[in-house]
Amino acid sequence: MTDYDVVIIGAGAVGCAAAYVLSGYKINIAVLEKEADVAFGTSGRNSGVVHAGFNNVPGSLKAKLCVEGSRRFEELALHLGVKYIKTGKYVTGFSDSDRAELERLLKQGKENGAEGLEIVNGDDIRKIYPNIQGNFALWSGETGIFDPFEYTVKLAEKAYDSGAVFLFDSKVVEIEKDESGRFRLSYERQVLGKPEKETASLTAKAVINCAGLYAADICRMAGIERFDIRPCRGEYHILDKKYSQMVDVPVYPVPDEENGVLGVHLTPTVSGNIMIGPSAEFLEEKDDYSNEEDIMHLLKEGAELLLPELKGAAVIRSFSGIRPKLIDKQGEINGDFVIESSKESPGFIYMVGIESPGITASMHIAEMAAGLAESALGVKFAKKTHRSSVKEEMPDMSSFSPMVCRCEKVTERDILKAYDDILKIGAVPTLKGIKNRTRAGMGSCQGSFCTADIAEVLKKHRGADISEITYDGPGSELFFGRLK
Amino acid sequence: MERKETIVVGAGPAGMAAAVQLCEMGFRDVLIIEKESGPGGVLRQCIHPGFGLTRFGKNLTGPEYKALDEERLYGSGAELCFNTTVMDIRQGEKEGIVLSAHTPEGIKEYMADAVILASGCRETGRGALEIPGTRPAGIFTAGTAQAMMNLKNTKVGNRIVIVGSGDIGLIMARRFTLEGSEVLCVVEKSEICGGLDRNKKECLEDFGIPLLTSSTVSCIKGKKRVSAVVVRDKDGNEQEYLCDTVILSAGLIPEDSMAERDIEGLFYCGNVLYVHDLADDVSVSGEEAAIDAAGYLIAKMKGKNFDSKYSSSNVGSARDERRAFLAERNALKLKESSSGRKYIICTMCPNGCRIDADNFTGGRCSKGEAYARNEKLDPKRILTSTVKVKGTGDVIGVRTDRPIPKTLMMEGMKLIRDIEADQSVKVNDVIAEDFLVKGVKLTASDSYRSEKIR
Ligand SMILES: Cc1cc2nc3c(=O)[nH]c(=O)nc-3n(C[C@H](O)[C@H](O)[C@H](O)COP(=O)(O)OP(=O)(O)OC[C@H]3O[C@@H](n4cnc5c(N)ncnc54)[C@H](O)[C@@H]3O)c2cc1C
Ligand SMILES: Cc1cc2nc3c(=O)[nH]c(=O)nc-3n(C[C@H](O)[C@H](O)[C@H](O)COP(=O)(O)OP(=O)(O)OC[C@H]3O[C@@H](n4cnc5c(N)ncnc54)[C@H](O)[C@@H]3O)c2cc1C
Repeated sequence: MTDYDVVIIGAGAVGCAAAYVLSGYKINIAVLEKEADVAFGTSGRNSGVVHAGFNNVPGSLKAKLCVEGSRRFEELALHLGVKYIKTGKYVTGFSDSDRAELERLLKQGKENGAEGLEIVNGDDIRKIYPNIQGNFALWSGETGIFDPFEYTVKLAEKAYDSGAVFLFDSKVVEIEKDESGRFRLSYERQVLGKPEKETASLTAKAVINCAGLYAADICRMAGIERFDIRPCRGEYHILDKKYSQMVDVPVYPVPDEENGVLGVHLTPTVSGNIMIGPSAEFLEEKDDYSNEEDIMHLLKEGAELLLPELKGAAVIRSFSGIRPKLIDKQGEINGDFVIESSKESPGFIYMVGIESPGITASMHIAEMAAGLAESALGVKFAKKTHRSSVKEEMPDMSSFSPMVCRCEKVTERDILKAYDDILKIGAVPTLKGIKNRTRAGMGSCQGSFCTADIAEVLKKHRGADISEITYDGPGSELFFGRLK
Repeated sequence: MERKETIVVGAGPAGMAAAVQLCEMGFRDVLIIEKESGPGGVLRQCIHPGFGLTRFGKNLTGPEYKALDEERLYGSGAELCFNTTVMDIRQGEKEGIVLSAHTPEGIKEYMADAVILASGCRETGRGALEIPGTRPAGIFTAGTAQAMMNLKNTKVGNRIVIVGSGDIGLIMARRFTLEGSEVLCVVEKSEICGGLDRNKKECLEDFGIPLLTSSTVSCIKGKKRVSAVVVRDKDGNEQEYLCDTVILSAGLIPEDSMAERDIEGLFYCGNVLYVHDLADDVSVSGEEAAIDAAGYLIAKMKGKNFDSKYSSSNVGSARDERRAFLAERNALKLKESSSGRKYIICTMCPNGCRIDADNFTGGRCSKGEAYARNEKLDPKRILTSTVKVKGTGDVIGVRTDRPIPKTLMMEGMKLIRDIEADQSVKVNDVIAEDFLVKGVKLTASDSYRSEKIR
C-alpha cells in the first residue's frame, strides 16, 4: 500500500510516540526514517533524564509539556515496560549568584506546576552523599532517569503491533501536493547490492514532521522557509560501572543561561553507569558526532567540580548528541518548542526545535500533533476499541544459551531476539541496533570480545553474510568478506 | 550447590597448567570451568610461532602449544566443564568459596575450598584510550582482528594504522602484511616499543613498517567507516594517514571483575594476575599457583596460615612489583636504543640478547653468535598463515616446519592461497612437501573441528 492517512517523518522518540498515539485510531499510518533503525538520531544520544519542568520559562510550551510529561512518565514507562527510576536530582551551587539563580529556578518551577522542589543546604546533601560538592542545592524530588533506547524501541514496537507501518533507510527528499490535495512524499533508499539509491514515493492526507535536526529542511520541502536549526553538540563520557556506588542521583551545576543548556552534569543511567556531560558547542554540520580533545578534558574537570572523587576515573566510551537549536530571524536562539499546523499547506504538521526536554515531553508533543492533524483534516479520528495487543513471544528462558557479551551478560538468545525484533518492525539489523536493545558491547570492554561473536551468531543462526553486517547502516560494513 | 575441593576458572594455558599440576599432586576432586566450548584460551587464535621455547624447547605456534597441554589436561583426571561462564566469586558465609556460573543447565552454584582464577585478560578498547574523533566502523582491538582473521577467515581491513605497539599489535602488523593488507604505521605513545624486541624485529622491521614512537593518534575521522587518522608527534606536528581500519594494541586489563577482592583460598595466575610476556611464563605461574593452593589446603587442615604471592590478597602487590620490573626494563631498553650501537637482536629465545653486528659478541649463550652470523648472511623465518579447509568456508593454521629464507615469505603466501587441507586434518599433519625449498614441509598447526569452537 502506498496511500496513508498520516505519514510521520522520523523515528526518534517524538516520531515513535506520534506513531504510538495515532496507531490507537482507525487510520492508516506510516513512519519514514532515513536511518536503519529507531533512535539513531538525538533520541539515542542524550542524558536520559525525565525533567521535572523547572528549567523552562513559565507559559512556554516546553514548561507545559515537560511538567505534564514528567507527571505521567512513571505510568507510561510501566505501561511500555521501560526501566525508569525516580532518582530525584540536585542542582548544586557555590556562590551568592548561584543561590539567587537557584531561588529563581525554584520559583519558576512552582509557577510551572512542578512538584517536589526545595532548596537544601550543603550539609543536607552530604548527609546522604558525603562527596557531592556545593554549598546548597535545588532538590527536585520528581526527576527520574530512564533508558532512551528502550523507550523509543518500545513505542515503535507497540505502534507496529497496532498496525503502524515503518519504512527504514528511507530518506524523504521531496514533498508535493497532488491534484486531490494529498501529499506525495518521495524518499530514497539504498537497495542492497546496488550502488545507486532508488527513489520511491507514497501519498498521505496529513504529514507529521518529526525529523529532529532536519525538521527545518523538511519544512522547506513543504514550502515553509522560516525556520533555521543550528546544531549544538553535547559531548559525554561514560564511566565504568565500578563508579556507580559513588552517586545514584543526577547532579547538575547551575545552568548556563547564555546557551540555554544545563551544563556538564553527572547522570547515573538505569544500567548502572555514570555519564559525564554534555558540553555545548555550535557546529556547522548536523551530523558531526565527533569528540574533541579539549572538550574531553573539560568534561572531566566539570565532573570533578561536582564530585572530586571522580578524578582520573576510567572512561569506557565517549559519545555526543546534537541539539537542534531553533534560531529566529534575528539570529537569536528561540527557546521554545514550535508545534504547529501549516496554514500554507493544510495537513502539514511540524515540530521544530525539539531539544531538551524533548523525550520527557514526547508523549504530549505526540498527542498535540495528533490533535493538530485532526483539525487540519477536519475529522475526529475514531478510536480503536482496543489495541491489538500482540502477545510478546517470550523465548524459552529455561534452556541454555551461550554467553556472548561477558561484560553485560548478554546471551546468544538475547542477540537473536533483538535481531528478530529489529526485522519485525521492518528495521535493518545492525550491530548498533542490537547493542541498543541488548547492551551487548556497551560494557567495559566495549565489544572487543563480543563483536566477532555476535557476527558469528548471526551467521550461524540467521544465515547473515558477515560482509553485510554493518555498525549502523550502509557504508559502515564491519568486515570485507572472506579472507580466503 | 555442587561441592568441589578445587575449582580452576578458565582453561587457557594458565588454567590448564594449574589443573594438571593439581591432579599430578594427587588431588582428585578438581573441576575446570571454561566459558568456551574447548580449552586453549587465546592460544587458539595465535597461529604465529614463538611459543614453547622455554617450556618445551621448541618454537611452536599457539595451537601447537595448546595441543600439548590439552593432551595432558584430558589425561589428568580433572573434570572439565565447558560452555560455562563464572559470573560471581565470593567468600562463602560459613566456609569455602562460592561461585555462581551460567551453565548449560542454567544458573548453578558451586562451592570449593580453593579456587584458582585463570581467566586471562581483555584488551583496552577505544573508549578507554580516550582517542578523540568520530566512532565509525573499522576500529578493532588487535585480538578481535586476530580472531576474525585466523579463526573466522574474515578480512578486517585494507589500509591499516595500528595504535599501540603491544605484542599483539606487532604480530597483527605482520599478519596483515602477509595477507596483502597495507599497514601504514604503528603509533606508540612512549619512547620505545611496547612489545618484545623479537616481535619488533620480525613483525615490523622485516616488512619495513614504520614505528612512530612518542606519538599519539589525536583524531579518528570518518562517518560510517574509518577514513583517516591524525598522528601527532611529540613536538605537536600532525600528519594525516588515509586508512579504513584502526587496530588497537594498547594495553590489556585483567579479567577479574567477577571476583571479590581478598577472598581466602582464591589464587590468581596467568594473565589475570598481570600480563606476562610469554605463554610459557603463564603456564609456569599456573603450576606455581596450583602448588600454593595445595599448600594452602594442607595448612588449613592443620589450622595454620599460608602465605602465597598468588593469593587474592597479594594481587595488588604482585601487580605493583610487575610494574616496577617493567619500568626498569623499559628504562634499560631506552638506554640501549639511544646508545647508537649497531646490534642484531637474537630471537632464539625470548631473552632478546643484543649481539654486536660486527663482531657477534654480546650473547648470553653460544646460540647468539651463530644466530647473528646467519641473520647477517641468510636470514630465515618460520612462515605461518592459514589455508582453506576443503568444502567449508573455514581455515586452519599452517606453518613451515623449519625457518625458510626471509626473502621467500611473500612467495610462500602466494602458494598458500591455492592450498587446501582436508576436513580430517590434525595438528602436525603435513599439508605440503618441499614447500618453496626442498625438504621443507608445510604442516597443520591445529586440528580441524567442523563445528568450530566459537
Ligand atoms: C545532549 C543532549 C541531552 C539531552 N538530554 C535530555 C534529557 O535528559 N531529557 C530529555 O527529555 N531530553 C533530552 N534531550 C532532548 C531529546 O533527546 C530530544 O528532544 C529528543 O530526542 C528529540 O526526539 P526527536 O524524535 O524529535 O528527534 P530525533 O531522535 O533526532 O529523531 C528524528 C529522526 O528523523 C530522522 N530524519 C531526519 N531527516 C529525515 C528525512 N529527510 N527522512 C526521513 N527521516 C529523517 C532522523 O534520522 C531521526 O531518526 C537531550 C538532547 C541532547 C542533544
Ligand atoms: C592476542 C594475543 C596474542 C599473544 N601472542 C603471544 C605470543 O606470540 N607468544 C607468547 O608467548 N604469548 C603470546 N600471548 C600471550 C599468551 O597467549 C597469553 O599470555 C596466554 O594465553 C594467557 O594465558 P591465560 O591462561 O592467562 O589466559 P587466556 O589464554 O586468556 O585464557 C583464559 C581463559 O579463561 C576463560 N574465561 C575467562 N573468563 C571466564 C569466566 N568468567 N568463566 C569461565 N571461563 C572464563 C576464557 O574463555 C579463556 O579460555 C598473546 C596473548 C594475546 C591476548
